Amino acid sequence: MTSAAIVNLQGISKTYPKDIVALNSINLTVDSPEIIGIMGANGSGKSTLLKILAGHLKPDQGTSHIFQQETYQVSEALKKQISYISQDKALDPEMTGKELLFYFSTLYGLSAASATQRINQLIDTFELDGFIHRYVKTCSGGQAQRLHLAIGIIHQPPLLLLDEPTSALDPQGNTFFWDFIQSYQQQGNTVIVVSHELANIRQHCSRVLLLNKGQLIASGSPDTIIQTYATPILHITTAEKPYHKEALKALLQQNIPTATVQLKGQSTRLDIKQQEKPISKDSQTSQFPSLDKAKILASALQIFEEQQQSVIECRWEQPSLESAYFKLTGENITAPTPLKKNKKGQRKHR
Amino acid sequence: MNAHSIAISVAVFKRTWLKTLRRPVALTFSLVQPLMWMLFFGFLFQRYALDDLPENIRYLDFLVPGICAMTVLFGASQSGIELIRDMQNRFLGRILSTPASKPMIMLGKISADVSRLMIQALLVLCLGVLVGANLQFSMLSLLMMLSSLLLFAIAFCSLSCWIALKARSQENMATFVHIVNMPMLFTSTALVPHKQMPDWLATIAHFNPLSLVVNNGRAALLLGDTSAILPSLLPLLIIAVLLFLLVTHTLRRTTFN
Repeated sequence: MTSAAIVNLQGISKTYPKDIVALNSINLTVDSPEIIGIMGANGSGKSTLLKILAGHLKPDQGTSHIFQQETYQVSEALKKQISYISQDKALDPEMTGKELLFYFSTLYGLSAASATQRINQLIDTFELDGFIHRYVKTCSGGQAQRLHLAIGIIHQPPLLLLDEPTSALDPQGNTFFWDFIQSYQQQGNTVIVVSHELANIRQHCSRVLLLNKGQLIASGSPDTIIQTYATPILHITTAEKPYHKEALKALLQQNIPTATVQLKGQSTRLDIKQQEKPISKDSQTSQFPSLDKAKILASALQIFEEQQQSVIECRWEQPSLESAYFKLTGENITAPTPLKKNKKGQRKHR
Repeated sequence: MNAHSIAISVAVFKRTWLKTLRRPVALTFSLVQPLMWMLFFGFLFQRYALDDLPENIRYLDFLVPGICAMTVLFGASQSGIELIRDMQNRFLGRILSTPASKPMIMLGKISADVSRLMIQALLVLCLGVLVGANLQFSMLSLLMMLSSLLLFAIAFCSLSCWIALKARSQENMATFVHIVNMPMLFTSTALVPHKQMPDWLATIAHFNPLSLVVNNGRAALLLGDTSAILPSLLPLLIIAVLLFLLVTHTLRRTTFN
């Protein structure tokens, strides 16, 4: 553990009733302000991890510290340093945005003068002025979401924990949100965000944690994860349909044994598999050797030439975090399904 | 207790009042209900003979302090409903994730509800006078009666909030309201004098805190005798403090995921 660690999780495990393993021996250390994205399919343990960080859940095993303080039964001092913003918009529908902002500014201990200043700042930042005097129940989903976020950072916490924060935002709001967390991090704060938005995670996060069935299966920068785990796809288009389709396929397969070949009309697709065995493996993640794309491309083109097929286009499909996740788990990361409400009107989720 | 703690209670107090005022139908109904009780019961039993009370005291006069206490009982038992609404939209979880002191949050909430109930009780007294009740008003008699009602309101608002934190659903809360309110009312001296009850009921009524509040109200407003009220406030104070501590303790241990 680094003495000044912002976050330090060691061996965190959590099992829900009926032996549902939510997290299994998770380690995470954050030493300096960054944006960390947590990805995984539904039920992979992302929200549980965030709730443990926020002190809302007690892990069954392991230790969880934020700013050197135990997170569970979170102290008042620690509450000033973190903000957990859930995917549910925890707002009072019968209050206006401004009333809510003033209410929470008081609960967080802001003086009247600093609250007014901070609220004006938030109104500008989150563009709340158009609906700040309206009851929350009359606001659109996106407006309520922006208010929800604004309240979450009213006390300027150095650690922001966000669980699916963009679920109700339109594309414009989405761009705004990611730009905002980027600037929030640049002010010296740490943001840990659970999201299914892979493109934004790749663009904005310095580190990504991939969770699957409660296990941390990979972590690193988005580019490292893509390079290491994503399956590159080579697309080759010929001028005409191949005459001897099966022969061409067999040749490609024989010369590029790591490829899965699919031929359809004039298009040939080669999914290049990673080597089965990693060159290194620590307790949390695996490292695979990088692929020699130029060599693969040269081999493929040579085969097409030998088969007298005129290639009119060839391109590598940009590998993505999604394909990396698929490679590691055999599952797609899908957007979350709407949560069902139970009889008490409370949303059920892990 | 510092300025920040007081500010928290004030903020919660203001919010609770704000929400009360934004539900005018509920507020109006809470006054219509006691009026109906006074009218129906007051005139239905207007020939009911009241033993051991001066002859000039009619049933309606006797009833009004009971209806005042009943209004506070019914109103206080609803106090937890707002907490359940806050739980259901996850707002309470958000409040609890702030560093705000939980006893001060609860103090603000209960102060707002109690102040509303005191205003309602005074309005019920006024309604009583309007429908013909003959009451003896003095500063001291009012003060003594309101002190009893205040302590009872603190106790019952705290109990209602405690049930809400435990029950976490409006259905369970409604069950509590029905199971507790009616037996509490009918086993008290709110509607019938102690001496005219069957023995078993009189025994229960003797230990019912609502009887204590009602009897204090009658002593103050019908007989003008406030001498016995002050000592009787002690058990009410003890109940109020214990229940407030209980709900605060429960709120401290409450987590919402």
